[in-house]
Amino acid sequence: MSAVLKAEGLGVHTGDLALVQDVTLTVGRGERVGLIGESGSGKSLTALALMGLLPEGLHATGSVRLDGSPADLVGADEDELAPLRGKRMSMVFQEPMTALNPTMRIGDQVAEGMLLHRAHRRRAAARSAAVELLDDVGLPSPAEAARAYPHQLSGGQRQRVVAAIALANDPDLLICDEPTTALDVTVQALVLDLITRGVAARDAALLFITHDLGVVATVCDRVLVMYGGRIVEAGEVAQVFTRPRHRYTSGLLAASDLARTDDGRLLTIPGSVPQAGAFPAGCVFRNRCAAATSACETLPSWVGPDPEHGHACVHPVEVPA
Amino acid sequence: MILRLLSRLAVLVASLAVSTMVVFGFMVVLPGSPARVALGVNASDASVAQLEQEFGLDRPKGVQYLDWVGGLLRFDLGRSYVSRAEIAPQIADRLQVTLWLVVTSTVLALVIAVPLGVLMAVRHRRASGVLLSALSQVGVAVPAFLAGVLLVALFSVRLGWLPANGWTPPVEDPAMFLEQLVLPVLSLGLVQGAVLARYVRSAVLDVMREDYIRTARAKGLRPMRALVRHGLRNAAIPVVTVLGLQLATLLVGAVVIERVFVIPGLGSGLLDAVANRDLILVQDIVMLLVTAVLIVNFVVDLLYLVIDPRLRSVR
Repeated sequence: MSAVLKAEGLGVHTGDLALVQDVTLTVGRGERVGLIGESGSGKSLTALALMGLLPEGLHATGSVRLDGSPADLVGADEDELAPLRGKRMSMVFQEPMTALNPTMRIGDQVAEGMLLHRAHRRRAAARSAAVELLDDVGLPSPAEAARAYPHQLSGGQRQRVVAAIALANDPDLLICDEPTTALDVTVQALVLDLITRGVAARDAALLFITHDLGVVATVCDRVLVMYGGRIVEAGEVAQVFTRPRHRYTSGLLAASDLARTDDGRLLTIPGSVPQAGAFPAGCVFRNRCAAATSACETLPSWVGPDPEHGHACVHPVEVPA
Repeated sequence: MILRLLSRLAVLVASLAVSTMVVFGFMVVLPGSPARVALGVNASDASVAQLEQEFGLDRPKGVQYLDWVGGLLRFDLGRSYVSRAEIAPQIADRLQVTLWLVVTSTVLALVIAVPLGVLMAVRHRRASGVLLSALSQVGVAVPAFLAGVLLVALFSVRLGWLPANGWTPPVEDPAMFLEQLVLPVLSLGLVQGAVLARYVRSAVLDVMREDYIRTARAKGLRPMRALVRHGLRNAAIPVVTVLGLQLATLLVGAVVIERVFVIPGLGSGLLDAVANRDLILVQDIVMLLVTAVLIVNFVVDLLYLVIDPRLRSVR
């Protein structure tokens, strides 16, 4: 399996402050990889860094390579990045209510990417391709939707439009940043289904960011657990979710298990995610970890066969034999 | 959409109707009869009575009001109490002068403000953007009349390129008209443009942080193109609001520039009418200005509907 996306030692910094550090991940063709963690753990920044769309004042370090493009995307200029975005790699954002231009018709917003990357040279052809795509993502009466403005659609419908825009040029890599978080539970499953179908139909690589472990379990093959701007554990979904090694992962799993309670109260991870830059030195999780010892004050090294499988914990959870 | 339009139109007509009452009412509550005001304190009762009779000022106020409004609808603004000349033609001339001044300086302001404001926003973290921003701040601080005086000192007195003042109607001598128009339009337009550029800058800065700009970038649009295609129309909404306010202010506010450049505009006309205690002329000019402001607001409302589809749907 060839890697479509390969990030090595990816970091995001603002001034001297490191917000994301040493993220190494690969996503192969047809592979679906989840990136999970609490809010503030650096998932979205990682996604934006991969796309080269970090907001002003933030910069990326390390290396990001897209299969078939010789250049390292970190530090690449617009001339190199713009032709890749929306064509080879594209993104679905968290907030469907604001991700679309309120003053432009849906059809034009979908057609724009195809015209830009020359999938269609004529406006009329791009428009009808846009209607087809809207039909593909399951919008009822797509021709009508193409003429509508975003405010005339519901949140779930808008997210379908955002997905249609992202899939318009059959990208090799689709990055989804919490695409269903803002949606009603009933709509979530539909949008997830359309994303997985869209990716499968194009044999594309999927990097799926979420804090919802249930979603990862249904969508992804592999998962990376992120905390404090670092990858703390990685592996096959079945492996990580049933036999977590890192203390943070096990805490996260315990907290999402509604059946497990402590005297009738749901389990939580004690404390809260620190402010950016206020994470402890050494193991980023040690100030919230019950198992932490002085050994955790130095950065734990990665234990595992490769960056895609393993954990970074000095006192890993024992695996029952 | 049609419903929205009609309702805005109804609001315009209603506002105009109320304005006539307010403007007329103000003249009524002023102490003393308009004839007495026009003739002065030393005039004899007989001459006051004669003037009142001549202009129908002895009739009941209601009749006078209806007479005045009826005249307005036929563009008959009555005759001056002082010169006894027809008012409509005088005002029409002055209105034309003011419109030339206001419209050309607003166009100039837009031509300056839009590119400058976008540039200031795009480069707001760079030295060039900060420098432009500081310069525009200076422009905001300079009053138009000072700009006018400085421009005259430079271009008329020192360089002798352009006339220092005066007004020639375009039909009489187009070349002279243009020469005389340049300096007053520059003084109004530069200052107005500096103010407007600040608003364009902040509107564009706001829009640049919007999610849909990021979506556009993720499609593969370069930053400037994403801003132009997806940002400017959204940024136009607050800018149009300010532009409308500026236009309304300029209609009267141009009076200072009219004085500096000796231009017979509407604002000067109003001041002259007040100085001559010609109350009917004051009343007509005020009504005209109110009408102009209401129409500007109406057009701004229509522009909102054109720019933002969200406002078109009736809820």
